[in-house]
Amino acid sequence: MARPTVPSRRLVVLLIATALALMTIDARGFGPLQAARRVTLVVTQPVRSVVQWAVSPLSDGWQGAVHYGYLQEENAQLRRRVAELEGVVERLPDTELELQQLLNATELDYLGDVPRVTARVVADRDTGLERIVEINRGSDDGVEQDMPVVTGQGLVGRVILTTSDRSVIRVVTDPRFSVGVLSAETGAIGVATGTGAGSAMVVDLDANSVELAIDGGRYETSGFDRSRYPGGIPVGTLVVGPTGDQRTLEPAADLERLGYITVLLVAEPR
Amino acid sequence: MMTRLRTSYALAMVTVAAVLQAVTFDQIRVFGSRIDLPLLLVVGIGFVTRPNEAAVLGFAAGLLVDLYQFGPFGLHALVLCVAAWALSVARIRMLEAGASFRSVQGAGAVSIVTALTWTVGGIFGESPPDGTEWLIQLALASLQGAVLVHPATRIASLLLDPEIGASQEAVSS
Repeated sequence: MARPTVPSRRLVVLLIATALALMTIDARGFGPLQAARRVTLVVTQPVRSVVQWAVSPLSDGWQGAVHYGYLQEENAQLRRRVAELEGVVERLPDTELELQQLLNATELDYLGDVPRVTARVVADRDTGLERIVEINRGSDDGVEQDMPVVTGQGLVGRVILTTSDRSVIRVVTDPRFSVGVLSAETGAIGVATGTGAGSAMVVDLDANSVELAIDGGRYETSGFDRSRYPGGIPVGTLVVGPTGDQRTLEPAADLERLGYITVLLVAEPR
Repeated sequence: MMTRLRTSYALAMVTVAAVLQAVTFDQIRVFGSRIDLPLLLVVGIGFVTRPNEAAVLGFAAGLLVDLYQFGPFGLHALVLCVAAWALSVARIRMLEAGASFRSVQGAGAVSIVTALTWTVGGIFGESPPDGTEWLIQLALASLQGAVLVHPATRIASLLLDPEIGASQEAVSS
């Protein structure tokens, strides 16, 4: 005897209700859902590694074809830079001393003595709704959720999920990312929030800081009490709209092509 | 009703699609657009299965996609469930004209589901494309649907062995 069929409309309504319930409890930070994502990443890691290895020649070839113009330009820039540096080295009266000065100039002063770990970007996905950056360092390396992620140029984002050997990063342009910012030049303070991949961050300045907003001003993390991020990390450059009401930050870090990043091993203030 | 074997095939198929999407297709973009394998598969499933099956498989595929993404958990389950069910119902009621219109149906289905995903995602704090970018991405999604839904439907059809004729009563209920 055939089993009775559930009317399809009723079933769909039930599934929609389930999906909405899941979205609601996820928005409230329900732990098991994050755990499920973490387990998925861990369990499928071997399969993903094999598939990634198998398709990487195709993927790399495609990326090379698509970004051929960019690579040519980058190559030319590198050649120019090498020529410049060769010229500099030839002119040095005391090579070792000058070389040390060059090295000092490239040190990341803004980081100070903050413990850190450098990681390689192993996946950089764009789902159409969000950008997901995955790195090859995880909890075994001391990386924890909410730790800030930077490059030499400035703030890149923060860690949103870790497994033993992988972590997932949310970049500064994500609408769910916000950070307290401060202009070291004028003292203006505010909160910068992402508006989507490829877009500038919107800055909401403190009422007393609006008059201090200068087009082209550099902003860094404020590092105020209970901030997730240490102070002094470059965040971006202020762009004031024609009417003066619209203020955005062009991210300091080059987010287009992330190869290596640094995770700052600082715990979130409780 | 869907047999256990068919359910296993279908779940294996959407799992493979979700993993391939996360590992490969999310990282390959053409003019800012990407091939959306789970979406194509769900559209294919919608074209060859009964509404109940389509809804459940769309929901399962969506959950798998949600596991690999970090937006609201359940967003894709919601959209793909509704999309697969609506396509299945629409096919039975209106689009039984045959495979000759499959490209048109695919283009329409993929672009509508993509727009629906962006809309629901936008409501829940995601950042879908806007302005001209929105139109370009939708046009590319439509093109993707026109070209790739037919093979996706064939794959779904081969694996799921549909009994399309029997689906009328499910719709009428």
